[in-house]
Amino acid sequence: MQPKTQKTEELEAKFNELAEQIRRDTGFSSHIADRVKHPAYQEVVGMGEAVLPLIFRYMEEGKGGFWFHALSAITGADPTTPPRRINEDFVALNISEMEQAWLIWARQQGYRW
Amino acid sequence: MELYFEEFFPNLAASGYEITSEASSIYNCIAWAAGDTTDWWDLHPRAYWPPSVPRSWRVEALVQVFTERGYSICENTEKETGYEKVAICARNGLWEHEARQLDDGRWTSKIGEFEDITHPSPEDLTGELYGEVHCIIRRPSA
Repeated sequence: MQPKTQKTEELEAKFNELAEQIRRDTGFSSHIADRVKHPAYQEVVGMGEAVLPLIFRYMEEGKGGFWFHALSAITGADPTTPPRRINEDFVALNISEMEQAWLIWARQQGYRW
Repeated sequence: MELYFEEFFPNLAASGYEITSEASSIYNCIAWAAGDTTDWWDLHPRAYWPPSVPRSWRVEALVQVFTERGYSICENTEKETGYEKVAICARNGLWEHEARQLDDGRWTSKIGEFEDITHPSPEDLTGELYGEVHCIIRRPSA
């Protein structure tokens, strides 16, 4: 782990604040869309590539967060394919499988957190 | 999360409840009511939804999910020997939450991405977030 600069500490504080806001405002919901549509979630997406290690650490710590949309939006990648096919029209991985796929992808890409 | 729960569910604070699991974002209340702790049941394209049921927020779609699993509408929340019951909560006609009855007559709910809880009644979670109890369904116990 590299020494933290003031800038990275500020970024981390901002991300933690936004993640907590999303969790507090939408954590009770059964609908993933409520989280993705939340302004704080979109703000995390707007933080760009610099926020990726923070998201990966958050996921690895088992805090959830439904970050797969943000990760795809920032990186343009989607390592959660090939997904599990339910029928002709519908495919899915479960949340844990998607998180693991992203963490494997992140390490392969050289991200550290 | 206890303070959160009592803040957002005033009925729950009054009736009492018990946290029975760790928090998890792997499964939600619909999955939990169906006995599944490996998937998040939702209309989101990357979540699980039974392929035979229309992908709809309308509460009727969620009722269909469970009627296809052997449930039918019943009259009340009382414990009936030989049956398992599920309560479906909806707000403005759209499904929001499910609770499943335990053998001792109490109810178990998975609260969003937080913990499972045991509570006395489906009404404990009604209010601004989950709306009202739309219906109770039951099926013969396995």
